Amino acid sequence: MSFSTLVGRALATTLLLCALPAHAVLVHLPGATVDFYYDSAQPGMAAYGTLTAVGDSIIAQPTDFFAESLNGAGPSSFSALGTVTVVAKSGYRFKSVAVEQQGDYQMSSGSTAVSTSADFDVTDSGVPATTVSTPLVSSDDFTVKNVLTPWSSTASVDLGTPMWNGVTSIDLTLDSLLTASSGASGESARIQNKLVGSGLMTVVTTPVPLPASLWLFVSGFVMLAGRCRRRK
Amino acid sequence: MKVSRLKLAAAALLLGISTSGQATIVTLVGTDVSFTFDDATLFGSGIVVGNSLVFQPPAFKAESLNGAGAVTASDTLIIDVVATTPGYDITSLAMQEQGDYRRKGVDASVAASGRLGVTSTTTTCGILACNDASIFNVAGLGDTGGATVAWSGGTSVNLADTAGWGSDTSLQISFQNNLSATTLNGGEEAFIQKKLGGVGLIVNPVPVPAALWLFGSGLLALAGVSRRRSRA
Repeated sequence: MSFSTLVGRALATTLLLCALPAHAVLVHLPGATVDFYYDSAQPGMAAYGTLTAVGDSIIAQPTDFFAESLNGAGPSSFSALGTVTVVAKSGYRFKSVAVEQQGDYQMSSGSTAVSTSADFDVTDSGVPATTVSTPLVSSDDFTVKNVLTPWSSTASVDLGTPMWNGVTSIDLTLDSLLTASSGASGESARIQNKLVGSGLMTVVTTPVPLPASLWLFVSGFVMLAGRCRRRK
Repeated sequence: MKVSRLKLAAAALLLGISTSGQATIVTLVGTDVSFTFDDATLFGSGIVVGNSLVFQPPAFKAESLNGAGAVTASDTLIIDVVATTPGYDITSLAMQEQGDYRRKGVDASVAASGRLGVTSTTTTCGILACNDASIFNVAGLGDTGGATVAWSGGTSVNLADTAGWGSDTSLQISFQNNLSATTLNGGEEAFIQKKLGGVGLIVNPVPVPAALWLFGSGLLALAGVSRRRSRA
Protein backbone atom coordinates (compact mmCIF):
# COMPACT_ATOMS: atom_id res chain seq x y z
CA MET A 1 0.00 0.00 0.00
CA SER A 2 1.34 3.43 -0.94
CA PHE A 3 1.85 6.16 1.64
CA SER A 4 -0.91 8.31 0.15
CA THR A 5 -3.58 5.57 0.49
CA LEU A 6 -2.36 4.94 4.03
CA VAL A 7 -2.83 8.61 4.93
CA GLY A 8 -6.14 8.64 3.03
CA ARG A 9 -7.42 5.70 5.03
CA ALA A 10 -6.36 7.11 8.37
CA LEU A 11 -8.02 10.41 7.40
CA ALA A 12 -11.23 8.69 6.29
CA THR A 13 -11.59 6.70 9.50
CA THR A 14 -10.77 9.74 11.65
CA LEU A 15 -13.31 11.80 9.69
CA LEU A 16 -15.87 9.06 10.26
CA LEU A 17 -15.29 9.28 14.01
CA CYS A 18 -15.38 13.10 14.07
CA ALA A 19 -18.54 13.27 11.93
CA LEU A 20 -20.51 11.20 14.45
CA PRO A 21 -22.87 13.18 16.68
CA ALA A 22 -22.31 13.13 20.43
CA HIS A 23 -25.00 10.50 21.12
CA ALA A 24 -23.77 8.20 18.33
CA VAL A 25 -23.29 4.51 18.97
CA LEU A 26 -20.57 3.27 16.63
CA VAL A 27 -20.84 -0.40 15.77
CA HIS A 28 -17.98 -2.26 14.09
CA LEU A 29 -18.71 -5.47 12.17
CA PRO A 30 -15.60 -7.15 10.75
CA GLY A 31 -16.07 -8.78 7.34
CA ALA A 32 -13.67 -11.04 5.42
CA THR A 33 -11.77 -8.41 3.40
CA VAL A 34 -13.67 -5.28 4.53
CA ASP A 35 -14.80 -3.70 7.80
CA PHE A 36 -18.30 -2.31 8.34
CA TYR A 37 -18.96 0.65 10.65
CA TYR A 38 -22.29 2.28 11.40
CA ASP A 39 -23.98 4.51 13.93
CA SER A 40 -26.78 2.35 15.37
CA ALA A 41 -28.35 5.52 16.87
CA GLN A 42 -29.01 7.15 13.47
CA PRO A 43 -32.79 7.67 13.19
CA GLY A 44 -33.44 5.36 10.21
CA MET A 45 -31.38 2.46 11.49
CA ALA A 46 -33.91 1.16 14.04
CA ALA A 47 -36.31 0.25 11.21
CA TYR A 48 -33.70 -1.89 9.47
CA GLY A 49 -33.02 -3.92 12.62
CA THR A 50 -29.81 -5.56 13.79
CA LEU A 51 -27.14 -5.92 11.12
CA THR A 52 -25.02 -9.07 10.92
CA ALA A 53 -21.80 -9.36 8.92
CA VAL A 54 -21.36 -12.55 6.86
CA GLY A 55 -18.32 -12.76 4.59
CA ASP A 56 -18.11 -9.34 2.90
CA SER A 57 -21.82 -8.67 3.32
CA ILE A 58 -24.19 -7.26 5.92
CA ILE A 59 -27.73 -8.47 6.36
CA ALA A 60 -30.74 -7.57 8.51
CA GLN A 61 -34.25 -8.96 8.87
CA PRO A 62 -36.47 -6.00 9.86
CA THR A 63 -39.58 -6.68 11.95
CA ASP A 64 -41.30 -3.27 11.94
CA PHE A 65 -40.56 -1.99 8.43
CA PHE A 66 -44.07 -1.81 6.93
CA ALA A 67 -46.81 0.45 5.56
CA GLU A 68 -50.49 -0.32 6.12
CA SER A 69 -53.73 1.37 5.11
CA LEU A 70 -57.12 0.18 6.35
CA ASN A 71 -60.75 1.09 5.61
CA GLY A 72 -60.19 3.86 3.05
CA ALA A 73 -57.55 5.71 5.06
CA GLY A 74 -55.92 6.63 1.73
CA PRO A 75 -52.19 6.44 1.10
CA SER A 76 -49.93 5.61 4.02
CA SER A 77 -46.15 5.41 3.81
CA PHE A 78 -43.09 4.34 5.77
CA SER A 79 -39.53 5.26 4.96
CA ALA A 80 -36.10 4.79 6.51
CA LEU A 81 -32.63 5.98 5.61
CA GLY A 82 -29.56 4.19 6.88
CA THR A 83 -25.85 4.66 6.22
CA VAL A 84 -23.06 2.13 6.70
CA THR A 85 -19.36 2.89 6.13
CA VAL A 86 -17.25 0.20 4.50
CA VAL A 87 -13.44 0.27 4.79
CA ALA A 88 -11.37 -2.08 2.62
CA LYS A 89 -8.85 -4.07 4.67
CA SER A 90 -5.17 -3.58 3.91
CA GLY A 91 -4.26 -5.26 0.62
CA TYR A 92 -7.77 -5.11 -0.86
CA ARG A 93 -9.73 -2.69 -3.01
CA PHE A 94 -13.43 -2.55 -3.93
CA LYS A 95 -14.67 -4.12 -7.16
CA SER A 96 -18.44 -3.79 -6.87
CA VAL A 97 -21.26 -3.45 -4.38
CA ALA A 98 -24.81 -4.83 -4.50
CA VAL A 99 -27.91 -4.28 -2.39
CA GLU A 100 -31.11 -6.31 -2.05
CA GLN A 101 -34.48 -5.96 -0.33
CA GLN A 102 -37.08 -8.72 0.13
CA GLY A 103 -40.53 -8.60 1.60
CA ASP A 104 -44.18 -9.42 1.12
CA TYR A 105 -47.49 -7.65 0.52
CA GLN A 106 -51.16 -8.43 0.97
CA MET A 107 -54.17 -6.36 -0.11
CA SER A 108 -57.88 -6.95 -0.42
CA SER A 109 -59.69 -6.55 -3.72
CA GLY A 110 -61.08 -3.13 -4.57
CA SER A 111 -59.25 0.19 -4.73
CA THR A 112 -56.12 -0.97 -2.90
CA ALA A 113 -52.48 -0.54 -3.92
CA VAL A 114 -48.98 -1.02 -2.54
CA SER A 115 -45.58 0.06 -3.85
CA THR A 116 -41.89 0.19 -2.98
CA SER A 117 -39.15 2.54 -4.10
CA ALA A 118 -35.60 2.85 -2.85
CA ASP A 119 -32.35 4.66 -3.71
CA PHE A 120 -28.89 3.28 -3.07
CA ASP A 121 -26.09 5.86 -2.77
CA VAL A 122 -22.39 5.00 -2.74
CA THR A 123 -20.09 7.86 -1.67
CA ASP A 124 -16.35 8.20 -1.09
CA SER A 125 -16.11 8.76 2.71
CA GLY A 126 -13.31 11.29 2.20
CA VAL A 127 -14.62 13.08 -0.94
CA PRO A 128 -18.42 13.52 -0.83
CA ALA A 129 -18.42 14.72 -4.46
CA THR A 130 -17.45 11.20 -5.55
CA THR A 131 -20.88 9.63 -5.40
CA VAL A 132 -23.22 7.40 -7.40
CA SER A 133 -26.96 7.11 -6.80
CA THR A 134 -28.97 4.26 -8.27
CA PRO A 135 -32.61 3.20 -7.80
CA LEU A 136 -33.42 -0.35 -6.71
CA VAL A 137 -35.33 -2.23 -9.41
CA SER A 138 -38.20 -4.49 -8.38
CA SER A 139 -39.27 -7.43 -10.52
CA ASP A 140 -42.79 -7.39 -9.10
CA ASP A 141 -45.76 -5.40 -10.37
CA PHE A 142 -47.75 -5.46 -7.09
CA THR A 143 -51.06 -6.49 -8.68
CA VAL A 144 -51.85 -9.70 -6.76
CA LYS A 145 -54.91 -9.29 -4.54
CA ASN A 146 -56.02 -11.15 -1.39
CA VAL A 147 -53.06 -13.50 -0.88
CA LEU A 148 -49.73 -12.77 0.77
CA THR A 149 -47.19 -12.40 -2.07
CA PRO A 150 -43.39 -12.00 -2.01
CA TRP A 151 -41.48 -9.11 -3.63
CA SER A 152 -37.80 -8.20 -3.98
CA SER A 153 -35.68 -5.38 -5.39
CA THR A 154 -31.98 -5.03 -6.16
CA ALA A 155 -29.29 -2.61 -7.36
CA SER A 156 -25.53 -2.74 -7.85
CA VAL A 157 -22.70 -0.28 -8.45
CA ASP A 158 -19.43 -1.00 -10.31
CA LEU A 159 -16.54 0.24 -8.16
CA GLY A 160 -13.90 -0.79 -10.73
CA THR A 161 -14.34 2.41 -12.77
CA PRO A 162 -11.64 5.16 -12.73
CA MET A 163 -13.68 7.45 -10.42
CA TRP A 164 -13.19 4.93 -7.57
CA ASN A 165 -9.39 4.62 -8.05
CA GLY A 166 -7.63 4.70 -4.67
CA VAL A 167 -10.91 4.89 -2.70
CA THR A 168 -10.67 2.57 0.32
CA SER A 169 -13.60 3.85 2.42
CA ILE A 170 -17.14 4.26 1.12
CA ASP A 171 -20.49 5.21 2.64
CA LEU A 172 -23.46 3.07 1.57
CA THR A 173 -26.83 4.79 2.05
CA LEU A 174 -30.16 3.06 1.52
CA ASP A 175 -33.24 5.28 1.39
CA SER A 176 -36.21 2.94 1.29
CA LEU A 177 -39.90 3.83 0.99
CA LEU A 178 -43.02 1.65 1.23
CA THR A 179 -46.55 2.85 0.48
CA ALA A 180 -49.95 1.22 1.00
CA SER A 181 -53.34 2.62 0.07
CA SER A 182 -56.97 1.65 0.58
CA GLY A 183 -59.97 3.52 -0.85
CA ALA A 184 -63.03 2.25 1.01
CA SER A 185 -64.26 0.74 4.27
CA GLY A 186 -63.51 -2.97 4.55
CA GLU A 187 -60.38 -2.70 2.38
CA SER A 188 -56.87 -3.39 3.62
CA ALA A 189 -53.39 -3.05 2.13
CA ARG A 190 -50.08 -3.89 3.76
CA ILE A 191 -46.52 -4.10 2.47
CA GLN A 192 -43.50 -5.17 4.51
CA ASN A 193 -39.74 -5.12 4.09
CA LYS A 194 -38.40 -8.35 5.60
CA LEU A 195 -34.78 -8.50 4.48
CA VAL A 196 -32.14 -5.89 3.67
CA GLY A 197 -28.65 -6.92 2.61
CA SER A 198 -25.62 -5.44 0.95
CA GLY A 199 -22.46 -7.19 -0.17
CA LEU A 200 -19.10 -6.21 -1.63
CA MET A 201 -16.76 -7.82 -4.08
CA THR A 202 -13.10 -6.99 -3.51
CA VAL A 203 -9.82 -7.50 -5.33
CA VAL A 204 -6.37 -8.20 -3.85
CA THR A 205 -3.99 -5.27 -4.36
CA THR A 206 -0.79 -6.70 -2.84
CA PRO A 207 2.12 -7.10 -5.31
CA VAL A 208 1.66 -10.18 -7.46
CA PRO A 209 3.92 -12.97 -6.12
CA LEU A 210 6.13 -14.99 -8.51
CA PRO A 211 4.00 -17.85 -9.82
CA ALA A 212 4.86 -21.25 -8.36
CA SER A 213 5.14 -22.58 -11.92
CA LEU A 214 8.23 -20.40 -12.45
CA TRP A 215 10.13 -22.20 -9.68
CA LEU A 216 8.98 -25.53 -11.02
CA PHE A 217 10.17 -24.59 -14.49
CA VAL A 218 13.56 -23.33 -13.29
CA SER A 219 14.22 -26.39 -11.09
CA GLY A 220 13.23 -28.73 -13.91
CA PHE A 221 15.52 -26.84 -16.26
CA VAL A 222 18.44 -27.07 -13.84
CA MET A 223 17.86 -30.81 -13.45
CA LEU A 224 17.78 -31.29 -17.20
CA ALA A 225 21.00 -29.34 -17.56
CA GLY A 226 22.61 -31.50 -14.86
CA ARG A 227 21.56 -34.69 -16.63
CA CYS A 228 22.89 -33.47 -19.94
CA ARG A 229 26.26 -32.72 -18.34
CA ARG A 230 26.42 -36.15 -16.69
CA ARG A 231 25.66 -37.95 -19.96
CA LYS A 232 28.48 -36.12 -21.68
CA MET B 1 -3.74 2.53 9.52
CA LYS B 2 -2.97 0.49 12.60
CA VAL B 3 -3.39 3.47 14.91
CA SER B 4 -6.70 4.58 13.37
CA ARG B 5 -8.07 1.04 13.58
CA LEU B 6 -7.12 0.81 17.23
CA LYS B 7 -8.86 4.13 17.82
CA LEU B 8 -12.00 2.86 16.10
CA ALA B 9 -11.94 -0.34 18.11
CA ALA B 10 -11.54 1.57 21.36
CA ALA B 11 -14.37 3.95 20.46
CA ALA B 12 -16.64 1.07 19.52
CA LEU B 13 -15.83 -0.71 22.78
CA LEU B 14 -16.50 2.37 24.92
CA LEU B 15 -19.78 3.13 23.14
CA GLY B 16 -20.78 -0.52 23.27
CA ILE B 17 -20.38 -0.65 27.05
CA SER B 18 -22.56 2.45 27.51
CA THR B 19 -25.57 0.91 25.72
CA SER B 20 -25.70 -2.69 26.90
CA GLY B 21 -28.92 -4.14 28.31
CA GLN B 22 -32.35 -3.44 26.69
CA ALA B 23 -34.94 -5.95 25.37
CA THR B 24 -36.10 -9.17 27.04
CA ILE B 25 -33.92 -11.55 25.05
CA VAL B 26 -34.04 -15.18 26.16
CA THR B 27 -32.13 -18.29 25.08
CA LEU B 28 -33.79 -21.72 25.21
CA VAL B 29 -31.75 -24.86 24.59
CA GLY B 30 -33.19 -27.84 22.69
CA THR B 31 -31.74 -31.28 21.92
CA ASP B 32 -29.22 -30.15 19.27
CA VAL B 33 -29.97 -26.42 18.85
CA SER B 34 -30.44 -23.26 20.90
CA PHE B 35 -33.04 -20.55 20.22
CA THR B 36 -32.46 -16.89 21.11
CA PHE B 37 -35.36 -14.43 20.74
CA ASP B 38 -37.32 -11.55 22.27
CA ASP B 39 -40.14 -13.01 24.38
CA ALA B 40 -42.06 -9.71 24.62
CA THR B 41 -43.82 -9.87 21.21
CA LEU B 42 -47.37 -10.96 20.29
CA PHE B 43 -46.02 -14.52 20.07
CA GLY B 44 -45.43 -14.64 23.83
CA SER B 45 -42.88 -16.83 25.61
CA GLY B 46 -41.81 -20.06 23.92
CA ILE B 47 -41.36 -23.67 24.96
CA VAL B 48 -38.67 -25.92 23.47
CA VAL B 49 -39.58 -29.50 22.55
CA GLY B 50 -36.73 -31.49 20.98
CA ASN B 51 -35.44 -29.27 18.19
CA SER B 52 -38.58 -27.14 17.87
CA LEU B 53 -39.73 -23.91 19.45
CA VAL B 54 -43.47 -23.61 20.18
CA PHE B 55 -45.51 -20.53 21.12
CA GLN B 56 -49.01 -20.28 22.54
CA PRO B 57 -49.79 -16.61 21.91
CA PRO B 58 -52.20 -15.26 24.53
CA ALA B 59 -53.72 -12.45 22.45
CA PHE B 60 -52.78 -12.73 18.78
CA LYS B 61 -56.16 -12.02 17.15
CA ALA B 62 -58.22 -9.82 14.83
CA GLU B 63 -61.91 -9.12 15.27
CA SER B 64 -64.41 -7.04 13.30
CA LEU B 65 -68.09 -6.83 14.23
CA ASN B 66 -71.15 -5.10 12.71
CA GLY B 67 -69.45 -3.42 9.75
CA ALA B 68 -66.39 -2.18 11.64
CA GLY B 69 -64.39 -2.65 8.38
CA ALA B 70 -60.97 -4.28 8.14
CA VAL B 71 -59.00 -5.11 11.30
CA THR B 72 -55.51 -6.65 11.16
CA ALA B 73 -52.97 -8.13 13.54
CA SER B 74 -49.41 -8.79 12.45
CA ASP B 75 -46.12 -9.51 14.13
CA THR B 76 -42.65 -10.73 13.19
CA LEU B 77 -40.30 -12.54 15.52
CA ILE B 78 -36.56 -12.84 14.95
CA ILE B 79 -35.08 -16.11 16.26
CA ASP B 80 -31.34 -16.80 16.27
CA VAL B 81 -30.63 -20.54 16.01
CA VAL B 82 -27.30 -22.22 16.69
CA ALA B 83 -26.53 -25.94 16.37
CA THR B 84 -25.13 -26.88 19.79
CA THR B 85 -24.35 -30.58 19.24
CA PRO B 86 -20.88 -30.85 17.68
CA GLY B 87 -20.87 -32.46 14.22
CA TYR B 88 -24.54 -31.65 13.59
CA ASP B 89 -25.92 -29.28 10.92
CA ILE B 90 -29.34 -27.74 10.32
CA THR B 91 -30.66 -28.86 6.90
CA SER B 92 -34.28 -27.67 6.83
CA LEU B 93 -36.95 -26.02 8.93
CA ALA B 94 -40.73 -25.91 9.04
CA MET B 95 -43.27 -23.50 10.48
CA GLN B 96 -46.69 -24.58 11.72
CA GLU B 97 -49.63 -22.45 12.90
CA GLN B 98 -52.99 -23.28 14.42
CA GLY B 99 -55.97 -21.32 15.66
CA ASP B 100 -59.68 -20.80 15.32
CA TYR B 101 -62.08 -18.45 13.55
CA ARG B 102 -65.71 -17.40 13.36
CA ARG B 103 -67.41 -15.89 10.34
CA LYS B 104 -71.02 -14.79 9.69
CA GLY B 105 -72.48 -12.67 6.89
CA VAL B 106 -72.04 -12.21 3.13
CA ASP B 107 -69.45 -9.44 3.40
CA ALA B 108 -67.62 -10.89 6.41
CA SER B 109 -64.19 -12.40 5.79
CA VAL B 110 -61.13 -13.60 7.68
CA ALA B 111 -57.60 -14.38 6.49
CA ALA B 112 -54.39 -15.83 7.90
CA SER B 113 -50.98 -15.81 6.23
CA GLY B 114 -47.35 -15.97 7.18
CA ARG B 115 -43.76 -16.03 6.03
CA LEU B 116 -40.76 -18.04 7.15
CA GLY B 117 -37.52 -16.26 6.26
CA VAL B 118 -34.06 -17.71 6.95
CA THR B 119 -30.61 -16.15 6.59
CA SER B 120 -27.23 -17.66 7.35
CA THR B 121 -24.99 -15.92 9.84
CA THR B 122 -21.87 -17.78 8.63
CA THR B 123 -22.13 -18.57 4.91
CA THR B 124 -22.37 -16.40 1.79
CA CYS B 125 -24.14 -17.52 -1.39
CA GLY B 126 -22.78 -15.25 -4.10
CA ILE B 127 -22.37 -11.70 -2.78
CA LEU B 128 -24.93 -11.86 0.07
CA ALA B 129 -25.42 -14.08 3.10
CA CYS B 130 -27.29 -17.25 2.07
CA ASN B 131 -31.02 -16.70 2.51
CA ASP B 132 -34.36 -18.26 1.61
CA ALA B 133 -38.01 -17.58 2.42
CA SER B 134 -41.38 -19.22 1.98
CA ILE B 135 -44.90 -17.81 2.28
CA PHE B 136 -48.19 -19.50 3.17
CA ASN B 137 -51.84 -18.47 2.86
CA VAL B 138 -54.55 -20.35 4.75
CA ALA B 139 -57.30 -21.18 2.24
CA GLY B 140 -60.96 -22.07 2.66
CA LEU B 141 -61.92 -19.91 5.63
CA GLY B 142 -65.61 -19.89 4.61
CA ASP B 143 -68.79 -18.74 6.35
CA THR B 144 -69.26 -20.69 9.61
CA GLY B 145 -72.64 -19.14 10.43
CA GLY B 146 -71.08 -17.78 13.62
CA ALA B 147 -69.69 -21.13 14.86
CA THR B 148 -66.04 -21.38 15.94
CA VAL B 149 -63.95 -23.57 13.61
CA ALA B 150 -60.27 -24.56 13.68
CA TRP B 151 -57.72 -23.49 11.04
CA SER B 152 -54.11 -24.45 10.44
CA GLY B 153 -51.35 -23.54 8.04
CA GLY B 154 -47.63 -23.67 7.56
CA THR B 155 -44.66 -23.79 5.26
CA SER B 156 -41.06 -24.98 5.17
CA VAL B 157 -37.62 -24.00 3.92
CA ASN B 158 -35.01 -26.50 2.74
CA LEU B 159 -31.48 -25.08 2.83
CA ALA B 160 -30.48 -27.38 -0.07
CA ASP B 161 -32.81 -25.35 -2.35
CA THR B 162 -30.36 -22.43 -2.25
CA ALA B 163 -27.29 -22.94 -4.45
CA GLY B 164 -24.10 -23.03 -2.38
CA TRP B 165 -25.89 -23.61 0.93
CA GLY B 166 -27.26 -27.08 1.88
CA SER B 167 -26.75 -26.97 5.62
CA ASP B 168 -25.59 -24.59 8.32
CA THR B 169 -24.70 -24.38 12.00
CA SER B 170 -26.00 -20.85 12.62
CA LEU B 171 -29.17 -19.23 11.25
CA GLN B 172 -31.42 -16.26 11.82
CA ILE B 173 -35.14 -16.95 11.35
CA SER B 174 -37.76 -14.30 10.59
CA PHE B 175 -41.13 -15.71 11.72
CA GLN B 176 -44.05 -13.61 10.49
CA ASN B 177 -47.77 -14.00 10.97
CA ASN B 178 -50.66 -11.88 9.63
CA LEU B 179 -54.33 -12.11 10.60
CA SER B 180 -57.22 -10.03 9.28
CA ALA B 181 -60.96 -9.86 9.92
CA THR B 182 -63.46 -7.75 7.96
CA THR B 183 -67.18 -6.95 8.20
CA LEU B 184 -69.09 -4.39 6.13
CA ASN B 185 -72.64 -4.54 7.53
CA GLY B 186 -74.51 -4.65 10.83
CA GLY B 187 -75.07 -8.16 12.20
CA GLU B 188 -71.89 -9.53 10.62
CA GLU B 189 -69.09 -11.20 12.57
CA ALA B 190 -65.48 -11.90 11.73
CA PHE B 191 -62.96 -13.18 14.25
CA ILE B 192 -59.68 -15.03 13.84
CA GLN B 193 -57.10 -15.99 16.43
CA LYS B 194 -53.73 -17.66 16.35
CA LYS B 195 -53.38 -20.00 19.31
CA LEU B 196 -50.30 -22.02 18.47
CA GLY B 197 -47.28 -21.36 16.34
CA GLY B 198 -43.98 -23.09 16.10
CA VAL B 199 -40.83 -23.66 14.15
CA GLY B 200 -39.13 -27.05 13.97
CA LEU B 201 -35.65 -27.81 12.70
CA ILE B 202 -34.25 -30.87 11.01
CA VAL B 203 -30.73 -31.46 12.24
CA ASN B 204 -28.42 -34.06 10.70
CA PRO B 205 -24.91 -35.30 11.44
CA VAL B 206 -22.39 -33.84 9.02
CA PRO B 207 -21.55 -36.71 6.61
CA VAL B 208 -17.93 -37.82 6.26
CA PRO B 209 -17.06 -36.81 2.69
CA ALA B 210 -16.98 -39.71 0.22
CA ALA B 211 -13.54 -38.53 -0.86
CA LEU B 212 -12.16 -39.47 2.57
CA TRP B 213 -13.15 -43.15 2.14
CA LEU B 214 -11.73 -43.15 -1.39
CA PHE B 215 -8.50 -41.63 -0.18
CA GLY B 216 -8.25 -44.01 2.80
CA SER B 217 -8.87 -47.17 0.72
CA GLY B 218 -6.37 -45.99 -1.92
CA LEU B 219 -3.77 -45.42 0.77
CA LEU B 220 -4.32 -48.94 2.19
CA ALA B 221 -4.00 -50.45 -1.31
CA LEU B 222 -0.73 -48.57 -1.87
CA ALA B 223 0.62 -49.80 1.45
CA GLY B 224 -0.28 -53.38 0.48
CA VAL B 225 1.43 -53.10 -2.90
CA SER B 226 4.62 -51.63 -1.46
CA ARG B 227 4.79 -54.44 1.17
CA ARG B 228 4.39 -57.11 -1.49
CA ARG B 229 7.11 -55.47 -3.59
CA SER B 230 9.59 -55.24 -0.75
CA ARG B 231 9.07 -58.94 0.02
CA ALA B 232 9.68 -59.99 -3.60
